[in-house]
This record gives sequence, structure tokens and C-alpha cells, in this order.
Amino acid sequence: MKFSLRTIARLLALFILSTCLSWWWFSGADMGWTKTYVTTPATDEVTGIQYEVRKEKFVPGVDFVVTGIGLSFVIFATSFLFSAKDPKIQQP
Amino acid sequence: MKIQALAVAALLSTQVFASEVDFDFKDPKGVNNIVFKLDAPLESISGTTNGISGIISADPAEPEDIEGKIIVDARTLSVPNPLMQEHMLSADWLDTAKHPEITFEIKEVLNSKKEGNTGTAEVKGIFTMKGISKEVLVPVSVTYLPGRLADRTGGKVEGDLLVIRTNFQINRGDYGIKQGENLDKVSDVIDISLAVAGAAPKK
Repeated sequence: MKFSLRTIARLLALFILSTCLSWWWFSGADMGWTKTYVTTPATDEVTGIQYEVRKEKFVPGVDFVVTGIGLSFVIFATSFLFSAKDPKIQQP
Repeated sequence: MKIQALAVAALLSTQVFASEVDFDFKDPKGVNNIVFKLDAPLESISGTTNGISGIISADPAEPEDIEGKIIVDARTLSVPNPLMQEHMLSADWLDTAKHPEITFEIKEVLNSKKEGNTGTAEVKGIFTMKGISKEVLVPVSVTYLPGRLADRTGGKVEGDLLVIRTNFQINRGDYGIKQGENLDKVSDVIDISLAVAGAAPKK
């Protein structure tokens, strides 16, 4: 089964779009900015000072989704530059 | 002779109770922290730092009567978004390469009140950021914890602790940070919360 470049570009666009959306969704659909760490509150027993414990974690945000949508749109738009038929099939 | 000895003893005891102790705010545990918040349309920008140092002198009998300076290493300020972090430390915003320190120097303590080992006061001081110094008045709560340093160091170091807490606001525009610019993206007002503990090891 052979695909034309147009089809490959569109499949790539669909893959990027679906990956971005599902990654964002299953990471908690954060409506804020993308984060590379999260914090959890803690209290120092001696002083009573509340502080935040940092944990490295990638949390995709709205900017991540917008970038994914934009990239997939560009790839989809670029697909129109390619022929719909496989050049090898186009024999005289 | 007896009266002289009594007078000396009285003077010494007065000095002991009135003597100021230096508390070092460099915290190897990383508990000392400053949280800063700015309103923004998508979500408020919240960051923190543990890069705090400085020496504050306080009289254990009057812990609210503090003097000294708190220093923050501006390069340690962090927000969870890496692009935002890069912008925040850049020359356009905090310019931490040229101005690596944010400081607060206590000048005067006003309206101090004491309740147990905790005192409250309004502290007039000089807040310096991005090389610009402004006088600010901040409400401060100070708690003196005698002999509690050992609990924090697993018994390795004996001494006292002084906990200082404050919440106040500044305007970024006053400190040359994009004055009047980007107000639709991020607020001019910065909410600052500080909670720090200083240690005075026994000599």
C-alpha cells in the first residue's frame, strides 16, 4: 500500500494534532501555561513556615495545544503543494 | 564594695537582656521562601525563590525591633514556564545579569506590639530591585524561638531561631520594569509573601 506525499503530510498533521490534544487532555487539560515543574505545599515543623516542594514534571498547557494545532495546520496546508496521486502510478 | 558589685551585676544583666543577636537567614534546608504573584489574563503568574540570605539583628526580649538586610539572589527567581522564566530574567524585565540582587534594608520599626514570643510591627525600609531603590512600609510579624535551632539541625547546632513573615505589594513600573507596558498581559502590581527563618547559633 503506497501513499502519496499529500496523504503522508495529512496523516502527519493528524498525528501531531491528535497527539497534542490527547497529551494535553490526559495530563489534566490544564488551562494555564505549560509548566516544567509542579509544586506541592509543605510546612516546616519547627518554624511553621509554609513552603513549596518542587517536582520536575511536564504539564502541557494551552500554549502547547495552540502550537500543536498551528503546526498541524501548516503541515495540512503544505500538503496541497503535493500531487494527490503517487508519481510512480502516473505512467503514460 | 557590695553595692558596686550589685551595680555591675545589674548592668551586666541589663546588657544581657538588651543585647541584640545576629540571625543569619541563609537556609541550607531550602525552607525560607519568597512567593511573588502577578495577575495575568490566562492565569496568574506565580513564582518563588529560595535564594535568600542576609543578617537581621534582633533583641530576643523585643523581637519585633529588628534591623538588618534581606538579600535575594534575583537569578534564583523561578516560574514554572521556561519561556516566561527566560523573559523574566532578561534585560527587558529584571535584567539579573546586571542587577543580580534584590534587597530589603530595614530603616525604622514603627507601631511595634508584642504578644508572647511574637511581635508585629510596621517596618519602613528600602526595597531595591533592578538597581532602583524605593522606601516602602511593610507589615511584619516576628517570632522568636529560643533554643529551637537544634530541632532544625538534628541536634548538631544549638541556638535560637527568628521567624519573619510579611506580605506586601510593589508596582513593577516603579522599579523600571516595563513601566506602563504590557499591562494587558501582566499586572503592574506584584504581590510578595516572605516567610523566612534566621538562625543564631550559640557561641
